[in-house]
Amino acid sequence: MSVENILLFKLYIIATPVLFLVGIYAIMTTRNIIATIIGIEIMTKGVTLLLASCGYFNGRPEMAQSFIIIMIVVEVVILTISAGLIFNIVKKHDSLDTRNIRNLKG
Amino acid sequence: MSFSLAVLIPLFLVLFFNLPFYRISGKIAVFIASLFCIVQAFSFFLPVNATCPAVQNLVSYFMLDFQCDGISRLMLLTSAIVAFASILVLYAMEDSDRKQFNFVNLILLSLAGMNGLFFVRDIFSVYVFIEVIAATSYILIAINKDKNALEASFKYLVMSSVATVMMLSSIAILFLVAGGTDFVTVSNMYQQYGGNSLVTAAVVLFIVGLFIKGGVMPFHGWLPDSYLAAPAPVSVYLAGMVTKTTGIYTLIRLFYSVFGFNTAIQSILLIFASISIVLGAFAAINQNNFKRMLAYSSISQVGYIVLGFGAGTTFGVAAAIFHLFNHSVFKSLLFVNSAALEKQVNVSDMSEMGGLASKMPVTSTTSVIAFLSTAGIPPLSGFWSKLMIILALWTADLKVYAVIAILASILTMTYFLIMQKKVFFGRLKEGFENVKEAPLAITFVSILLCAITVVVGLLFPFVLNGLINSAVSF
Amino acid sequence: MNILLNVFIIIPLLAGVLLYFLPSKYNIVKIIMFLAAVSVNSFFSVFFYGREILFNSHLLFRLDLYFRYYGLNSFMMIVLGAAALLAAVYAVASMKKEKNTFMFYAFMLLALSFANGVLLTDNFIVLLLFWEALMIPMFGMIAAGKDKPVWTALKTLIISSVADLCLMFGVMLICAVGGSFMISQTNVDISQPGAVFAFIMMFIGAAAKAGAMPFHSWIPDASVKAPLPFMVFMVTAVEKVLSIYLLIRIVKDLFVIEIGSDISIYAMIFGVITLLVANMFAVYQKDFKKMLSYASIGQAGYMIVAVASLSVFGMVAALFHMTAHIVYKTCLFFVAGNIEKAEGSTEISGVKSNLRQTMPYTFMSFVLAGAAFAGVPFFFAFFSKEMIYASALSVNWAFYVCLSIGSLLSAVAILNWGIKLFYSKPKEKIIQEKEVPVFMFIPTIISALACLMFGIFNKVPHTLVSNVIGQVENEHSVIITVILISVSVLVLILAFINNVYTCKKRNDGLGFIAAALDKIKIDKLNENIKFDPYEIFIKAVTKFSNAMFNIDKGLNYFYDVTVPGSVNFVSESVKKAHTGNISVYLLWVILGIIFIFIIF
Repeated sequence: MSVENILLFKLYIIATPVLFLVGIYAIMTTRNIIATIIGIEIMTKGVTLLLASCGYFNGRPEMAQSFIIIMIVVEVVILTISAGLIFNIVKKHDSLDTRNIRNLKG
Repeated sequence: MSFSLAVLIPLFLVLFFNLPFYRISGKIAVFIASLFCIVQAFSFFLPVNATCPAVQNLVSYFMLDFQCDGISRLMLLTSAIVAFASILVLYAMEDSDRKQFNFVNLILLSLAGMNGLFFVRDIFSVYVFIEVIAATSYILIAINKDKNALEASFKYLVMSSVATVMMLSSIAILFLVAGGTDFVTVSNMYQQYGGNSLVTAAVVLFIVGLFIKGGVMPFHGWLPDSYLAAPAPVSVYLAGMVTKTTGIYTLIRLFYSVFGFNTAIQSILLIFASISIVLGAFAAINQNNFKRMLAYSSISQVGYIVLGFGAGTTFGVAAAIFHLFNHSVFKSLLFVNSAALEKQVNVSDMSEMGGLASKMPVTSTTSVIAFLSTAGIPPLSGFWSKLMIILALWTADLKVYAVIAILASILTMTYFLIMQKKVFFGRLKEGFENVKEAPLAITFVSILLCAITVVVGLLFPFVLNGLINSAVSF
Repeated sequence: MNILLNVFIIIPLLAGVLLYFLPSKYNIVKIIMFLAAVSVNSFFSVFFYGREILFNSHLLFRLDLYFRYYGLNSFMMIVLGAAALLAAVYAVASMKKEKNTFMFYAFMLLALSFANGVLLTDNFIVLLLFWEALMIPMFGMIAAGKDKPVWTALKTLIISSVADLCLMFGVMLICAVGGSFMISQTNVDISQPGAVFAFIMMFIGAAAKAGAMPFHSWIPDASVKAPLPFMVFMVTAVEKVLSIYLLIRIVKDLFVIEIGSDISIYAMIFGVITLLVANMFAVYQKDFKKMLSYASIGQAGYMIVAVASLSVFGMVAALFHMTAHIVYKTCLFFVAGNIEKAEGSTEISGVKSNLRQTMPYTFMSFVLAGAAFAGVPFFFAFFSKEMIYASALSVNWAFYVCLSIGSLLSAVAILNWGIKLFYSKPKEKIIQEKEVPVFMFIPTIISALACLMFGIFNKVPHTLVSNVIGQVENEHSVIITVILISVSVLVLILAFINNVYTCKKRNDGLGFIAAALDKIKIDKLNENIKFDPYEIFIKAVTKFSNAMFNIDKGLNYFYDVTVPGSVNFVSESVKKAHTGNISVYLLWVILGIIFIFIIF
């Protein structure tokens, strides 16, 4: 890898964990269920970024591209399922508060 | 090559069930699905290359990069058994026809995903199939839409997504260094660059992700809730297969075929495994809810599997696989018993039950046998696998862990005995006089799983030679 | 022919077992079986006399018994058989026919069988086996008495066990030193290392069975509480026979010791102590049976002294005295039993009527046997006592003095009881025949007459005994013999004077002997139970068991409270850590990752 590449690599290597941290922070400290899902999505975008950058620095961007597309498809499925879950939760509790889903303990 | 059939047939079955032209009743769906499970179970015993050309041609259009391995064939057998049990429990527990139909579809999809997971040779495909299984699990847990189930499913979703993210990032870094994602490329890379800190970090992340999915302490937060709140057939399926495959089987596959064993990684495995065993057993002791106690027991037993695996030798891997098989069987048996209890008694707080052994003889006997197998009492199968794990640790010079494993058996006996006394033995509580034995489907499954435990335990030498050695040395 | 040796062991054993288990309808059959078994035993002991048989008998399950039947055995078995027959007849006549009684008969047969086993065997291990097995019938026989005296039986068991332990230890040592398990092939020189200790242990073990101090304290208790035939058969016959048999074997065959060596002096001192103390106790007793038992212990001391003198002369004397002792003591115990049946008790205060007139035959037997006991010439025990005095004198004159004092004491005691029982003023003026049933007093008469007969024709037993041990001529000079005899006669006259003339002053028949003994405070010693080593031992054991109980409580506390408590604590805390909050779970994940990265 050339010098600019290394700099770019370092940039990506720093940016990605930032996204991860933002996502984890969002999941852990929010009181809104939808915000939890958004946090998951942020983390997923971070991974996408990482994958793309790795593909670029690897010299095989097309492989990375296929990976990313598959990943997005799978994420969409997961997202749909989570939307269904949230919908039903809201129907049961009539609120979007995460404190309602801390019932199972012990 | 014909193993792609294992994935394709369930897929096609689901498609076939859901064509918009006709409706298939739930019972027929159940029947066909259980038939498929039986076929899959028997395919383990058939020789590898039995194909017929016509099917071969048809299937070659859909061919994925599959290879077969001894471990994979054993996992095929296991998943078939557990899916069969789950479908039969479903048949006994759910009355609504539509619900049965939905369940069967989802379980078939999940089974397709699992079978795929057993045969892939590519890290990214591993991710894809894990996601398939996970997606169906989320839906399965919450399918009855009661409050606790939704909450449990949501927690599972969140934590599993975090795990997925970790796995994906690790895959990305490995892809960066190796240039490809199939097993061969990555293992070559690992042999070359294995000492690099970035690569090690990637491997560690991957392991953590798999721990979260597999339910190893301290990454197990979603597990007790999910096992507790899921409906009965889903609990059977979840406990028996999903955590094992997505978590532990993937771990074994990765380390067996891709990475080698490294002392540092081995110690990670061992430490977390022992924490899991001990704390899991402790948490199970004072539980009041039957299913929750079984969940913590699962955490403890998964710790045993990882402990055996962390020994690092081929013998350790064989021990781990055997214990995985045994644990699937007897944990499913226990959850089937809990399904029977749920159906007949309708109370899930153990302190309110008592003296049910006289009313439900099959359930109590099979649960006793299952717990004896968990605790590792000869001559049941659990004893042999635990013995193998302890021996593997001892010969690999990790005597401390072997001692921890042995001492934890005492804890296992503790919660087992408490539960037996509370639920089955003791005086009959009032209001339970009319309790009858569970319906035939459930008792049939219990007896079948119990028979497998006992037979595997008694015929251990044959099992050792036939299954395990061929699995490991394939 | 040799197989018939098994008869001695098998027939009494089988008969005893059958006796115990047959239901009570067959009482008559049981009695007949009992008598038949004992008679068969006696018959065969006479039948086999004179042969020398060395025979390995496989008795059931290949238990090798290694019989050796030769001179010493044969004589002892005849003696044992005769005593058993007399005791059996007396028992059948005197005991009430209840379940207890048949248990007693069964155990008596078992004891006979085991005693035969001890006598016949040639193997140390089998000897120990039968020796130990004798404790079972002893316990059973004592426990079959009135009011079920289980504590006395237990005391017997404990004391015998301790003595048997010594014997076992000695046997082990001698097998190790001598190198063989066969008695006939063991001949160990006392100077070999370990042999001295083996000798001491075996001597103690064998002597304790006869009642040497300090293993004696069960005999007086048992004499009061157990049925009378037990005293006659076990204490007098079996114990003395087995003990003297083993002592003679030890001194003659097993060890090679020089005459007059230190060991023999110590052994003789041991015997002398037993003799003196037991006879002193005997003087003070208020119960006839207890007096007889202490006298038994004293006579055992005589026999030990004789054997320990290590000469062939002494061994012949011991054997002779043992036989004589069995005969007259049996008769005296039978007299006691008759009195008990007629009057109800054998204590001094319990005698109500003038027995000389109401029970004339018993009185005659008492006179004959009492004379033999005291050592009057022309009665059975006179000759054997002289031989013992001679052998003691040949070692040291001090022993001879002690022996004489001992016989003085025993003569005083028997004269005292004679006066009390038969010459005291009666409390009731009833003169009627209260003689006991025929079968009870036939054995009495037989044994009394035997005292007289064998006394007069004393060559017969002498020859018998000499045949088995070795021909021994009386090699002492005439002067010594004269001195011995005159001293014995002097002793008797002294006792007579003491009792008859001084009892009027003290009114308790004991005369100046009592005054002398009071100075030594012997009576206090006897009443004071602290001298009884059994009681001391029991106190120590009680303290020890209290301490162990407290330790056990502490352990229980640990297991029942501490361990479950800590387990519960950990479990509860793990449970509480699982709040339902997903953030907490994710926090754990992050902490886990950080942990990994720190460690590695």
